[in-house]
Amino acid sequence: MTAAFGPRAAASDEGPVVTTCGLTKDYGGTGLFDVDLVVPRGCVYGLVGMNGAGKTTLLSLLSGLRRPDRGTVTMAVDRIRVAVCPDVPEFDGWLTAYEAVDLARSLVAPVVGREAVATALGTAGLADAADRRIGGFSRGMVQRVGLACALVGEPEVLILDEPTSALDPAGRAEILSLLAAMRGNRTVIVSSHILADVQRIADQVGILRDGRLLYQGATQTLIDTYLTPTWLLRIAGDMAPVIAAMASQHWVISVESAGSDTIRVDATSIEAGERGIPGVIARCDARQVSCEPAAADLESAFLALTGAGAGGADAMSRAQQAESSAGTARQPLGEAGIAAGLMNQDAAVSRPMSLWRLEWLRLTRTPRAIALAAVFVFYGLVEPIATKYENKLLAHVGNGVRIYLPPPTPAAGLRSYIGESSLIGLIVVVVLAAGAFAFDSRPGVATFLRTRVGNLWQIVAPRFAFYAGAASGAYLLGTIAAWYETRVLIGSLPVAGMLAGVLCGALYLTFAVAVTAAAASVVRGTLAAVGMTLAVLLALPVAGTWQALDKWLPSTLVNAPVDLVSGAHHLTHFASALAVTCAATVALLAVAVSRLSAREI
Amino acid sequence: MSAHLLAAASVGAPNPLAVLLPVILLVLLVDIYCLRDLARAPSVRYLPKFGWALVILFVSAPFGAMIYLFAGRDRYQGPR
Repeated sequence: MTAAFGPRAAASDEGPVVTTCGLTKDYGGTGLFDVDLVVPRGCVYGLVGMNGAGKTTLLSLLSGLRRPDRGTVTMAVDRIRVAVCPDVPEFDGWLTAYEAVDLARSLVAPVVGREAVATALGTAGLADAADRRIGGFSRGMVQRVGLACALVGEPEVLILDEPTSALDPAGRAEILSLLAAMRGNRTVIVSSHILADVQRIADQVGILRDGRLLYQGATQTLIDTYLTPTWLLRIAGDMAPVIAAMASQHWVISVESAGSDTIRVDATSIEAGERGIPGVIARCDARQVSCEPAAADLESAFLALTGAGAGGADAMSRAQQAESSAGTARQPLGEAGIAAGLMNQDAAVSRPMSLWRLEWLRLTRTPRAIALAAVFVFYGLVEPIATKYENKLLAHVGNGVRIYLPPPTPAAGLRSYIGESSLIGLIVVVVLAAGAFAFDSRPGVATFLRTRVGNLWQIVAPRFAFYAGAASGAYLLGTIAAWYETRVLIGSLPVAGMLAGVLCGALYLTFAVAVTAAAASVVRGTLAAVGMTLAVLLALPVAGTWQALDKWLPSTLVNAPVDLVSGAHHLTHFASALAVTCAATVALLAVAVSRLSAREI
Repeated sequence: MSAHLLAAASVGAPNPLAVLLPVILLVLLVDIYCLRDLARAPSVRYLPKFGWALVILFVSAPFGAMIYLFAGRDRYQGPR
C-alpha cells in the first residue's frame, strides 16, 4: 500500500495536509513523474497545466482511485474526511438532486442530520432544484450537484477537478468565490487550465507540464516572477502624451495603443508597474478612466455586460445568502420553486438514502422491474398455449409431410415455458444486472462511489440482493402464469413439486447474477459483462453433456421444475447441484469484490 | 379469473376467454405503459416518437415494447 491515510500528523495543526514523494504513474511516456507535492493546511491549492499535463492523474492518485507506480501519497487526515469531485460528475438520472446529496451524506457522514443536505444544496446554488430529477439537469447543474455531494460531509480536504468547466460565467464566479472563502477552514485542491480562475482563488499553486511539477509555491510569487505584467489603461482625451511619457520610463518594456481610448503597457515587474503607472498618469495630467491588469479580459467584460455576479464581493454575498437561506431551502421559494414543486413527483417520498434504497429506486423508478416481470409472465402465459396447439400448428406446415406429436402433457406445458424463460428471460436478467454491476464504466459514478465507500461489499451486496430477488420474483410470477395456463388447457400440475422446482430455478438465476457480478469485475462495460456472463452460462450445459459432471452443475437446476413435476427426478437428485450453486455464488461474489477493490478506474 | 371458469376449462374443451384474457391483458398493460412513457419523454433515441409508437404496437409482443424500453428510452431526459 503506497497511499497512507490516517490521523498520524493530525495532532499538529501545522504542517502540510497532503504530501507526495516521488509520485510516478507512467502511461508509456505520458503520465506523472517524480511529483513532490506539498499542500499546506487550510490553503487553496491551484493545480494548473495544459490539457494532458497530468492534473487529473495526480488528483486520481491523491484520491486513491489509482495507484502510483512509484512514490507515496501521505494524507494527514482520515480518508473519509477527503471529498473528491470529478471533472464530469455523473449520477443516475432518476435520482433527485436531494437524493444524490443525501446518498453522499449517508456514506460519508451518517451522523450528520439531513439538514446538512439542504445546506449543501443551497451552498451549491441548487435550493430551487433540490426535488427535480438529475436526468433533466444541464451539465452545469450536474456539476453543482457534484459539488454539493462533496460539501455535504464537511470535508477537511476538498479535491476538485475543473469544478467550473461546465458553468456559465456568473456561476463560475460564484463557485470560485465559494472556494476562496473556504481558505483557512479547509484545504482545497483545485485543478484548472484557466489561469485567471486560479489566480483569483488560490494562494498556493502548482504548475504541471508533461507530468512534471515545474513550480510550486505562493501564487503571488509566481505572478511576480513569471507572468508578464501588463495593464490596460483607458484614457479620456488625448492619449499621445501618456504614450510618450510611458515610453520614456525605464521600467516600461513596451507601450502601445490598443484601441481608440486604450493603452497597453508592459512593465518589467508587477511591483514596478503598480508603483509607476499612477505617477506617470498624474504627471501627464491625463484623465484616467480605468487601469486594470490585462489578465482580466473577456470574462469580466461579459460579466459587466450581463450584470450577473460581476465582482467577487457580489458573488460572495450571493453564496452567503444561499447558505443562510439553506435551512428553508426545501420549501419552494418564488415562481421557479413553486413550478419545481408542482412538477416533482418524488418530493413527498424523500426517505433517507442508502445504497440499498438506491437499488430499490433503480428497479422501480425505471422500467427495469416491469420489463423483467413482463418477459417472464409473457412466456408463462404463451408457451403452454403453443404446446397445446403444437399438433394443429404443425398440420398447417410441412408441404404434405404430416408430423404427429404425442398429445401434450402438463409437464410439457411447463417445459416449454422453462425453455423460453431460461433463454430470453435469462438474457434480460443478465443485461439488467450487468448495467448495475458495471458501475466502473461510468467514471463519474465510479468516483462518487469509490471515494465514499471503503469496503466494496457495501456496493455489491445491495445490487446482488436486489437483482437476484427481482429475477427470482419474476421467475415465480412467470411460473404461476405457466401453471395457470397449463391447468386451463392441458391439465393440473402438482403444486409442491412445482414450488420446489421454482426454488431450484430461482437459485440458478441467483447464480447467474453472481456470474454477472464477477464478469463485471473482470471486464469493463455493460456489454462486455453481458457477453462474458452469457458465454460462461452457455458453456455450463455443454460441460453437462459429460454425464458424470452433469448432476454437479448449476445448469442442471434449470430443468428442475419439469423433472420434479413429471416425476423424472426427486428433489434429492438436485442436492449436489444446489450445494455447488450456493458455494459458487458465494465464491463468485468474493471474486467480484476482491477484483473490484483491486481495480483502478 | 372466476372459479367456475377454471373448473370448466380444466376438463377437455378450454374456454378461450380463460386462456387468452391474461395474455391480452398483459400485452395491453405493457403497451400502455410504454406508450405513456413515450408520450411523456421529452426525447427518444434512434427513431422519432411516431416510429417508436409503431414499434411498440406492431412488432411482435412483447418484443416491440422491450426494444423500446431497452433501446429507445433516453437515459438523460431533458436538456443537456
